[in-house]
Amino acid sequence: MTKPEEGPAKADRHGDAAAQLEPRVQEKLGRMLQQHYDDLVAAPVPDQFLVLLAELEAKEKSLGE
Amino acid sequence: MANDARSDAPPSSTPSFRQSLVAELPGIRAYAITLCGTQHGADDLVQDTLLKAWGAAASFRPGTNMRAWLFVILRNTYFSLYRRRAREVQDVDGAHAERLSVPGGQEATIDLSDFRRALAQLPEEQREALIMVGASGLSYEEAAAVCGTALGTIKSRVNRARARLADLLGISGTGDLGGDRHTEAVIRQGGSTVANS
Repeated sequence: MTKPEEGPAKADRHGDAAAQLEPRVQEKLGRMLQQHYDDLVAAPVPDQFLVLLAELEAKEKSLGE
Repeated sequence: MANDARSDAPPSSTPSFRQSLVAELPGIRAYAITLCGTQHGADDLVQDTLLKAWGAAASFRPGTNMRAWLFVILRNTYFSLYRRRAREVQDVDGAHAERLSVPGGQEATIDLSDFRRALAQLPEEQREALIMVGASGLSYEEAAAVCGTALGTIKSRVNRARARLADLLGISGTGDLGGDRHTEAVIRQGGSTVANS
């Protein structure tokens, strides 16, 4: 499976560290993470990306003809 | 070109390659901001990722997870071109974040800006693992593949990220959360009142 030096012993130790977090702490972190992420993905996408992709597609179509 | 995902004439119900990329834009932007630590540089990283993805379209296998495929491209771009730049900005944020650890007994509410400062304090590998698995909808297996690492390593990074966040936010121990901290403060105040009287 994993390499001994960073496998079971180390992973278990970190696993234990997280296991010591109370469920409600885990839940709170999870909620905040989701809130943070929802804000990130809700931000409007700059037009520059849509323009870039439209240009790439148009260029390719013109080459294909 | 026949096998190229870009030029396959899709049935009307199947999105084109461009449309698929557009649909993934918010997710890859979020990942770019996560890696960079801030918005700074993230949009340049997204732009480079889109250009590379377009050029590498033939290597995308339809039916596989496009988000994970884009994450690999974005991640490689970040580590080869952007990392140093982003670090400089992160250090500034880190200086702000050091002020986070306020002794207990004060404001028990942790707002989103506290959370973001704490998140910015994490090593980038822990931060990206947490975002991928905890918010972006990737499985541990997919995240491990994106990062080119073992499954156990990703699990370990996510666990360490959670433990560190709880620590930075002062909610890692028993009774540090919301109402309990308030209770503690009341008890402390009561105690000092008794001591003073």
